[in-house]
Amino acid sequence: MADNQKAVGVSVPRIEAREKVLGRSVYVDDLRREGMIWGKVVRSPHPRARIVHVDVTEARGLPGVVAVLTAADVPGDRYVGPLVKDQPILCSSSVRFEGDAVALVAATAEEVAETARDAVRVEYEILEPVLDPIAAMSPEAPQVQAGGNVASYSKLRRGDVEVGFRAADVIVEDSFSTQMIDHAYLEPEGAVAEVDAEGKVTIWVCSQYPHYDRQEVARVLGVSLARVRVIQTTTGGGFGGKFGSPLVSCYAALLAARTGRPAKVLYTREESLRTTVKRHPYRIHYKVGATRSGKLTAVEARFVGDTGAYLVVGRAVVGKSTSHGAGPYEVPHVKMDGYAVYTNKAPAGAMRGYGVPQVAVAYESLLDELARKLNLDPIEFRLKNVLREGSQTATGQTLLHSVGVAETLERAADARREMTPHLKTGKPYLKRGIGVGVSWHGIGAARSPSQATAYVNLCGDGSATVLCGSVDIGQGSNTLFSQIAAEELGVPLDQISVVTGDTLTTPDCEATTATRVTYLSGNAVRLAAEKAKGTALELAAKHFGCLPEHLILARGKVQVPDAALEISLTDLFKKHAVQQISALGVFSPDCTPLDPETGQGSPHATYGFGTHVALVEVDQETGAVRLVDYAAFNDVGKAINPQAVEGQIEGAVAMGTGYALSEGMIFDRGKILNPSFATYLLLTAADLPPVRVGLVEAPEPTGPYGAKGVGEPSMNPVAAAVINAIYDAVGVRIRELPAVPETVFAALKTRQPLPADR
Amino acid sequence: MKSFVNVNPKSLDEAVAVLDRARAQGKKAALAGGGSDLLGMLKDHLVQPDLVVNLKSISGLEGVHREGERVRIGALTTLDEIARHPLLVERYAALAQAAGLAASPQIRNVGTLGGNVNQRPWCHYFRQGFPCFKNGGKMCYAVAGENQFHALFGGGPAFIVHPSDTAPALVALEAEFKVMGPSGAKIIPAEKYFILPREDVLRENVLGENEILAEVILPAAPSGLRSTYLKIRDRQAWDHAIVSIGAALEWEGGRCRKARLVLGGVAPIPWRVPNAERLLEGKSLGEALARQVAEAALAGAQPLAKNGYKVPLAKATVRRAVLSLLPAA
Repeated sequence: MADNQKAVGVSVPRIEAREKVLGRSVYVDDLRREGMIWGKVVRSPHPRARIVHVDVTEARGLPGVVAVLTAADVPGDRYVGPLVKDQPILCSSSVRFEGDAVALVAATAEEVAETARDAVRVEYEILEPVLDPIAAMSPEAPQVQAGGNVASYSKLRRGDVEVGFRAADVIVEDSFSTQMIDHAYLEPEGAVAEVDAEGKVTIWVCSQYPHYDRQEVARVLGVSLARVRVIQTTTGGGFGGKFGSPLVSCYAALLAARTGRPAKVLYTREESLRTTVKRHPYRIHYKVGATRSGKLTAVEARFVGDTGAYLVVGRAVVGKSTSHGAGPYEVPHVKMDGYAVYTNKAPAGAMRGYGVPQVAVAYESLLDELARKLNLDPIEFRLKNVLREGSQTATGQTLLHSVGVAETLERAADARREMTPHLKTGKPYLKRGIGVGVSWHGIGAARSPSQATAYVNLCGDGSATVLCGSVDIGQGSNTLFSQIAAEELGVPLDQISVVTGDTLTTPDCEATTATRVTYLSGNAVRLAAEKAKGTALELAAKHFGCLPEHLILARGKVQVPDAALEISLTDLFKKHAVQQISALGVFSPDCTPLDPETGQGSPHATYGFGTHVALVEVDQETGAVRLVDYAAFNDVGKAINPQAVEGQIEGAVAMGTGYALSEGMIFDRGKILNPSFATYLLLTAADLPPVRVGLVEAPEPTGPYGAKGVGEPSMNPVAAAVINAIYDAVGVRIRELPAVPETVFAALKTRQPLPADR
Repeated sequence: MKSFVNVNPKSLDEAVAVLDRARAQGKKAALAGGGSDLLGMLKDHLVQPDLVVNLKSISGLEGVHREGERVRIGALTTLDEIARHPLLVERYAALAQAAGLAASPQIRNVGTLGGNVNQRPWCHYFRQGFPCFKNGGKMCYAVAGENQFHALFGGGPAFIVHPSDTAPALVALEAEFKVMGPSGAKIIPAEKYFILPREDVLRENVLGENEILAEVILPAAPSGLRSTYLKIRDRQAWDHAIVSIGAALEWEGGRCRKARLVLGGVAPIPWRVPNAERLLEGKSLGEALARQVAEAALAGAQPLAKNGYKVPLAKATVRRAVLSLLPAA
C-alpha cells in the first residue's frame, strides 16, 4: 500500500482467500492425529421419553471399540448452557427432543464407531411430546423442564398503549407465525481433542467462541481453565449456530480424557440439521395504531418463541425481539410481552438476527397495511416515523449519532423507482410487486458490561502482530483487524499478522456474535495499535526533541513531516534497547441494561439500520414466488472493507429470501422429516437475482473509523421486504413463513377481488 | 454404510449373470449407474446390498444414437447430455427439457437416464427410514402426516409420488424400454414399465431383481409432433416436481391428431390422463379448450389433507403446457 493509500475504507481481498481457494485451509475434518479414535453419539429417536435402561454390553464388546460412555462417566458437571445449565451432555433419566444425546461411543475407525453406536440398546418409555408452544404455556401441559415450560418472560412498557390507541385514527392488528430454520453453514460441527503428557487437554474446533468452549469443557471434565486449551480451526460459517452449543467439544474432550487417545467427533449433516441449535419459530400478535396524518401512536405485541428442549440463549433472543419489536421508529406508546417456551424439539439458539427477523416480518407487514389504509406511500409513511438523531427508541434510549435509517429509505425510494418499469410481465397469471422492509439491530449483546481486548506487538521493522480473541468465522474479521492495524501503524496489509481464536495466546473477547466484532474488537485492535504507535512516537520525540503529536509513523519509519528528518523503528528500538512494543487495547461500549419491569434502558451503544427493496413475481395459478430484483441499503457507519460488507449483505439476502420463501424444518409429531440438503430447501444461485448493494455511512463516533457492523442488520429486513412485495403483487398478506406455493395459493384463494391488472 | 462387494462386469450379459447368481444365493444386489441416488441411499442405510454392480464398466451403454427414424438412448447417458443433445432438443423436446430440469447441474453431469427413471421415491418418511410400506413396513405415514407432496391419484397403500422428471416425458413420447434379463432382451412400453403400489408396494416398476434397464428407444417423431415438459417446484434447482407434465401433441392442418398428457408429481407412477387427451383429439386448440382439458386431467383427483393445493396448480400446468404446443401458424 503506497504511503498515500489508506488501509481502511478500501476493498481488499480476504487475507485467507488464497489458502481457501487452494484448499489449504485446515478444517476440523482435515485433522488427523496419531492413534486418533472416532466418536459417535447415540441419540434418542423419540421427542420425549423416559430412559428405562441403557445396555452398552454389545457395543463395548465390538472389536475396535475403545470407549462407551453414559452420563455416569462424565467426571465433572453434566449440564451445559450459556445462560442456564439445562442441557445434559448425556441424558440419564429422560430425553427431551428427537436427537437428544444418550451415550457416546468411540472406536479406532469411524465405521466401527457407527456400528457401536447402533449397538447401544436403549429402552425408552415413550411419552407424549409437548410440541405446540402455546399449548405448552398452559399449566396443565406436561413439563419439558422441571421449572415449567415458560423459560423466560420479557417486557417492555413505554407510555400507555391505551392512550396511544385512543389517539390513533387507524389501527391494524394481525397474527403471524414463523418457522424453525437452520443455519446451514457449509461446515457441520466438529472437534478433535488430545491430552498431553501432563494431562492438559487441547481441542481444535470450528467455533464462534473458543473461550466459552473452554469454560464448558473444563466444567465437564472437572478441571481448571488453565488445563484446557481450545484452538479454533478454519470455520466454515457460524451464523450463531457455533456459539452456545459446546457439546461437540465436550464429546471429543470426554473421549480423549477417558482413553488418553486423540479423539475426533464430526457431526454428519443429518446430525447437524436434526440436533444442533436452530432459529426460534415464533407465534406473533401485533397491533399498531397511527393518526390520519401518518404518525405512529402505539405498538402492542405479544410473541412466543419456541426455544425447544433447552434454553441456550432463548431468553436473550426473545429479549432482543422485545427491545427491537417497535422497529426503528418513534413510537410514544409501546407494550411488548415476549416469552421463550420449552417444547420437545431441537433447541433453538442464536441465529443471525437473534429474534429480530421474526418480529420485523410482523411490524413491517402491519406498517404496509397502515400505509394502505391511510392512503400513504409505504416509504413516505415510514419516513414520517423513522428514528433520527435525537429520537428516542422504544427502550427510551436517545440516539445522538449515526442514525442513517432515513437515508436508507430515501435510497430505497430511488431503487423502487428504477424497478417500477419492470413490473409488467406480459402474462396475465404472473404478477409483480415491489416491497420494502426496514429494520435495525443493536450492535453487541444487550447487556452491560461487555468488553473486547486486543494486543498489538509492534516490531522493529514496522510490522506487527495482532492478538485478539474474536474469531473469524468466514465473515472477514481477521482481514478487518489487519486493515485497522495497518492503517494505524502506516504499513501495508501484509506487514500485519493476526492471531485469533487460541485460548492459550489470545484474550477472551467474548463471542463472534451480535454484530459486535467490527465495533467492539475493531475498537480494541485500533486502541492497541494506536497505543503501540504512541509509544514509538514518544521514543522518537525524545530522539528528535519534539512533541510526539508532530510525528508520523509510516512504513517502519518515524518521520517529521515537511522535513527531511526520519528514523527507522529498527534504529529507534536499538537506541532505546527496546525489542518490540506491546500494547493492550480494551474497549467497552457505553450501555445500560434494560429494566426488567419496563424494558427501558440503553442496551446498545449504537445501532445498524437497513432498508431493503424486493421485486417479486407471483404466479397466481401456482402460488410460486420468484425474486426478480433486489436492492439493499444498509447504514454500516463506515465500511472498513467495502467488498466484505457487500458480501455480507448479499449472503444475508440469500439467507433471508430462503427464510421468506422456502426453508423450514418439517416436523411430524416432533420428528424432523427433512434433515438433508436434498429436502431442506436452501435457495440456490438459480433462485436469486444479483443483489444491488448500497452502503450508507452515518458515522458512529465511538466506532472504529465510524464503523458499526452489518452481519445482522443486513439479515433482518429481507423476509419483510419479500412478504410485502408479495402483497404488492397479488394483494394477499402472507402471515405464515415460508411463503411456499401451498401457503401462497391458500392465501390467494381467500383473496378479495383481484387488484386491477397492471 | 454396510460393506459391500463392488463388481465391474464387462458386458450386460455378465451383469445379468451376476444379478441372477446373487438372487439365487439370497444376496441383495444394487445397480450403480451415475450413483448419485444410490450413494445417498447407502449412506442412509435405506439399501444395504451385498454387492453393487457397477454398470459404468460396461461399454456401449452411453450415448444417443439414430437408428433410421428411431432414436436409441443408452441407459447410462447422462441427463446433461440428453438435455443438450440437438436431435432430442429439436424432435423430442419434452425429454430434453425434463432432463435439463432434473436435479442440479452437478447431478445432471453424473446422473443417468436409467437412474432417473428408476429413482426411488423422495417421500420424507421413506427417505428418513420410517418403517413405512416402501421400507417393508405396514403403514403409510403420509396418510395422517405431512402429505403436502403426496399423491392425488393412484395412491394406496403407499401414497408416494414418482420422482422422475424424465419418466412422464418418456411416457408422453411413447418411448420403449429395453430390459435385459437372463432370457435376453425384452421391450416394454414406457407406460407399462411403471407399477402402482397396489400391484407391488416395494417397487415402482416391473424391473426384476435380475434385470437391467439397458436402453430407451424413442419412436420416429411424426411430422407435426410438438412436445414439452413443465415442472413446478419450490426452488429452481435440485428439487423434485410438486407437479409436472410431459405433453406431446401431434398436429395436422391446425387440428390435434393425437395427444399424450402425462402428469408427474401427482401419482406413484407417471400419470396419463386419457380423458383429457381425448378432448384434444380432432380439435383445434384455444384457451377454452385448454381449460376443459385441464379440468378433465384433474377430474377424479383425491387429495389428502395437505396436498389439495396441487389440484389447481396441476390444472394451470396442464393448460399452459398444451397452449405452449400450439402448432406454428
